[in-house]
Amino acid sequence: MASKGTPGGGSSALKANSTNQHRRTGSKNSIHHQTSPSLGLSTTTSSSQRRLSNIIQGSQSAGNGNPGKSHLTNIEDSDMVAKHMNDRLLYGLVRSIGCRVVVTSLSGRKFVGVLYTAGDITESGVSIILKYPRQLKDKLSGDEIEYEDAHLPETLIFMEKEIAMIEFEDVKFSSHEQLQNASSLPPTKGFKTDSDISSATVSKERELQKWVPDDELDSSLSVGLEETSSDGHWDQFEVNERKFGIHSTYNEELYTTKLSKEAPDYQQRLKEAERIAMEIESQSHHGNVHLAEERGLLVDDSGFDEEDKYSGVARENNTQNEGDALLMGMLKANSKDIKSELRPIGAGRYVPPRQRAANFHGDPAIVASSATEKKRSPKSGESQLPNLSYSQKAQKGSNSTSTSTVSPPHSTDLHKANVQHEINSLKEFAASFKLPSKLPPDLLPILSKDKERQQEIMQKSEPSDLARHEKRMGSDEVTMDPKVTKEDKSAGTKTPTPLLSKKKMDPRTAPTFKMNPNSAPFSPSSFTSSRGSPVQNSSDQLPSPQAKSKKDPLSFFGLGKVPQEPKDGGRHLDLFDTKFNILVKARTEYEDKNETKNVFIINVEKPFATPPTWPSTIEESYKMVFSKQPEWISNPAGIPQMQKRMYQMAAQPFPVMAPPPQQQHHQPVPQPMMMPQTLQMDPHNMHIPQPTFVVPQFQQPQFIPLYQPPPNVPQMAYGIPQGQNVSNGVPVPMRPPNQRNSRAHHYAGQQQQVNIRSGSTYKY
Amino acid sequence: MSEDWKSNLNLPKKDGRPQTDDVLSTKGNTFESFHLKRELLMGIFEAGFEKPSPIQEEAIPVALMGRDILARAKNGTGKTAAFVIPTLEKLKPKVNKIQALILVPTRELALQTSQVVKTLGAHLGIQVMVTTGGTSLRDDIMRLHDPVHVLVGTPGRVLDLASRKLAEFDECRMFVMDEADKMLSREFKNIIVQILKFFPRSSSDGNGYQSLLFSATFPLAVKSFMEEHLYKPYEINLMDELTLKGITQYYAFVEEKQKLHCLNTLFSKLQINQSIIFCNSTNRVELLSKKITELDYSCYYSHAKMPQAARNKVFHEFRQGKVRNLVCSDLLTRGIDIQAVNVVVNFDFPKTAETYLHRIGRSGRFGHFGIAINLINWNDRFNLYKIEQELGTEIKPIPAEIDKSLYVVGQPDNIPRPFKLDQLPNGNERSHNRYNGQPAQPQRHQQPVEY
Repeated sequence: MASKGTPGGGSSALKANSTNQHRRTGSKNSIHHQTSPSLGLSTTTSSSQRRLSNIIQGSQSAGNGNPGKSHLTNIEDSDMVAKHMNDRLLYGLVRSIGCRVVVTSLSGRKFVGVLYTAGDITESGVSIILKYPRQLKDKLSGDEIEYEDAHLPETLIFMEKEIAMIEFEDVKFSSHEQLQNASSLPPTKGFKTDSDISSATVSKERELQKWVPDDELDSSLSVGLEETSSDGHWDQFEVNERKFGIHSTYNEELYTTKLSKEAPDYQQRLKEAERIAMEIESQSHHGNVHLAEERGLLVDDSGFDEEDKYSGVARENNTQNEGDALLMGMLKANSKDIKSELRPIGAGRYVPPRQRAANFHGDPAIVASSATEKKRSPKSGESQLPNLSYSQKAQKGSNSTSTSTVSPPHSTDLHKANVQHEINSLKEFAASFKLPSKLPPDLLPILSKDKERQQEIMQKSEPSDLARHEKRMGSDEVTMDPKVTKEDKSAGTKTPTPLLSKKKMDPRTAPTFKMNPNSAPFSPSSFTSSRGSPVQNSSDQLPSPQAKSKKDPLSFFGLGKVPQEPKDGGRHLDLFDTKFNILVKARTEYEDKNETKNVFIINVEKPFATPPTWPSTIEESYKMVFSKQPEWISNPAGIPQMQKRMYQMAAQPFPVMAPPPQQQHHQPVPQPMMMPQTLQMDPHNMHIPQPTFVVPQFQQPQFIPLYQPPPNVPQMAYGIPQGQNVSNGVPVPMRPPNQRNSRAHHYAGQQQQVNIRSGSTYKY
Repeated sequence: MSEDWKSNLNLPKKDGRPQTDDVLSTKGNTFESFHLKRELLMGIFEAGFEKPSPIQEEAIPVALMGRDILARAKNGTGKTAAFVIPTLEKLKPKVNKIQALILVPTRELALQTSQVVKTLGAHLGIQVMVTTGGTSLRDDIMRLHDPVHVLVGTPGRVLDLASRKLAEFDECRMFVMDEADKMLSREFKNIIVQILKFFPRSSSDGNGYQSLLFSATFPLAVKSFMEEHLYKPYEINLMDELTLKGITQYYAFVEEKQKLHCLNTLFSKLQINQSIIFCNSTNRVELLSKKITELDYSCYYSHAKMPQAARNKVFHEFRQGKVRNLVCSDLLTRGIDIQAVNVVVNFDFPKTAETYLHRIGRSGRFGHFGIAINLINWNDRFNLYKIEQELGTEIKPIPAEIDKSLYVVGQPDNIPRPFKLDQLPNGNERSHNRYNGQPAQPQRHQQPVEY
């Protein structure tokens, strides 16, 4: 065939461009008309012409252009058809320029060359010019091509009359754009990434050559950088000026526009600009480290170094799908909740709704999940847990977290002073301490061995009306198992452990129980999950795993020894607050050996040696802790009323502004908070409950790290929620075009606007 | 048209240093052949530009046609001018609106880019403003009262200004991102997408504005952004290799404790014109710079935890060549152009390949020669292999003597500096001691220090 190469793709493209009808007609006529002038010349000419036209038409169905049918064509169309076919031939010739062409002359000699150009298409055919022609040897058979050695000029012109047949090879008929695309783009990838460019080379690990210092080691230089000098910070400008005489010539106007201070309304504008600047800088940055940095906020960026921030490109899939975004949001929110890296900042700062809620709500669950680092105010603390006394809080601090503020006992004098201070305050506390309920008698021997002292204590805790029940229950317990208290008495000096946990866990007390063979085996996991709270266990509304298991208390305690169900959960809580108070015990201990001054009370030995193992501290993967579907998406109906409102607030169209400072008396202003953002995913940190809110284990009502996501995370909005038409957000135009000269008036108007925006709670 | 204007130009001294093919393999176009405004040409020539570099040759005509461009070219081969020149050509100085926004990832780079715009556009009568964090937002708001034609900044501050309509982009037809790979990194991308919402919309196909994206590295494909925000971007890739031809890379395999000693040896042996030394933590930056001054070499330091005023001052003085050495974090890894730097030292080895590439690209600017020396400790060795692999380059052990032709600057006096203050049209009255090549150093000049 004429096209020895592979015109396949190209020719099919051409075919697609021409209409079917047209081609068919053309094909038939081309053979008729084009071949007729050359018929007289050579028998091969017609076939050559046909081949060419086949190429031009891009027709794989060359054979279909059946010459036999050509005579059916209407003669009157022939002129126009001829013109069409000439156009096609011309197109094909143009496409063929630069291609390898084999020309068979009338003498039968074959020449190979590059098609340089073609002449006009005439009745007798077309003349062409070849560049770099070579003559082919006559070979009757075989595929091999051999060249004659005959010397030919660079350019060879074939007149149309001399040509018997022309074969064009490797003609590309694909469209121009396709060609361009194919050449400019690698076929599979788009824009090349770095590794695409460097992929050719392979370097492998090799032995590195040790650097050998030429000169003697200077002792001052043979140290690590951190060991060289004590303090890192130094005044580089002063030192360089003193040592090297370098003065600064920096002037910001070299880089930016000049700040014109001549304008008549300069002062006015300055004030206005200052106000807007303050507003902007107090906006929420939605956890975007860059945005926070640009607003001059201090954020916790400990997870990043400067390479991450300014140079490196985060190796993540750039097309972050929604799931990833959600996960990121969850992790971010989680790290905030648990690590509580909130820092109070100056007044007037924007307070994210979540933290605002923390200050509004009295609900301890919300407060705990809102994760304010700030110590609860005494008022709110009392309202939440009215039975908490100072000592218990202290106990929580020391007992429940390893990162407690109480320093370990092996530190120095400073520590002693602290201890002394605490002891004093404990003494003070003891003097004024009064149990809110009647003191259970079985606690007396624990509190004091001295009979008189016991009396004193009993009087101090004047039994209230409610106390009778406890008293009975307490005596029940004493009669039930006197050994327990006895043991407690002896053991109490050593390890003041909560009574309940001892009952259940302490192996020393275990033998005192009559083991019931029917009893369910004690499992620590069920203990940890229920946290041993009788309040919870007995509550119908809060089924614990134990309650679910439908184990009768009888099966555990044995007949006649089932502890009585408390009628009032709150009072029962009181009982646990007071009865198993380590500090009370510690105080008695201290009083026992009064002469020793260095008793360390606060650092109580833990009831058991393992780290705290309530559910929130068990190291689970985040997948276990959080369901895949964040709760703020799945169940809006389940959100308490206040939280719902929080979400609504967060859904405001524009970043909610903190109220200007002078207006703060209009409402209980939320504690200004800022939320630094970390992306740390340390599973250890994620699950450590926040120290300030840890309640001693045995009375903790419910402490599951309630994950509370920032409501705006799904939008991944920084500054402005995405998809938000900004004009809806009532932007404050700095200089409305029509109010240039009435600045005072304008200013007042803006105030109004700001108030509208700054939270719907404002009224004037 | 007469060619008189050319003779009246205030041309700088020729920088006679040899250059590599990274900037020389051009098609032979001239700046005049782009048919630029006379005033712009004046600025270009007065900035010391003679012929367009390859990336400029490729990008400027396409950008002038109005097409979006996604381009990559090696460090220091003229990318900044490649987007600044078409930006300036398209500006209408009489229209007092922001007509071009140039976003960069760091504040120092914003300063530098702004300075380039000001220099090249010196005769156009345009106002170029920088806005970044760390500076007075109030002042920036005040500045926006007056006409601003080109705004250069970091995304966070620009978004803050745009969302308050303090900076209006409704006539801004040119959107430029330098260091585009970093700008499309996660923390910036969301901000940029929001900024683009303030740009003019187009009634027909396309965007209503033109986007030019440039970087030397694209470690990740930026496909999603391209599809969403670029209209038929013209892609330019002039890199068949990643590293610059003019930079020779060495490693010195040392113990951590030997690093200072090694650095001191380098200082005493090498003919350092200016050097940048990278550390991986801000604390180490300060400690090392202090140590270097104690060794009697002038040295500034810069990192992101410093006040911006100090950062700017350091940046300015180092660019002007007043201080010889700069210790810094990766804050100054990208884009910073100081022609006189011929030695880069990685006192600590970086984590990522693109950081490495940008760091060593601080030397060998505009096709000149320079060296990069990496102090590698035992823990860094795998990272060294990894980065070699990713960049397809070889880092050789440091020889006892380094061939001077690989980095030594013949006539430091002729190296262009950012400011020729007396020549700036908005003239700064303050007297300025021109750079003398060598910062005044009291006693020894790059001599080993004996204690």
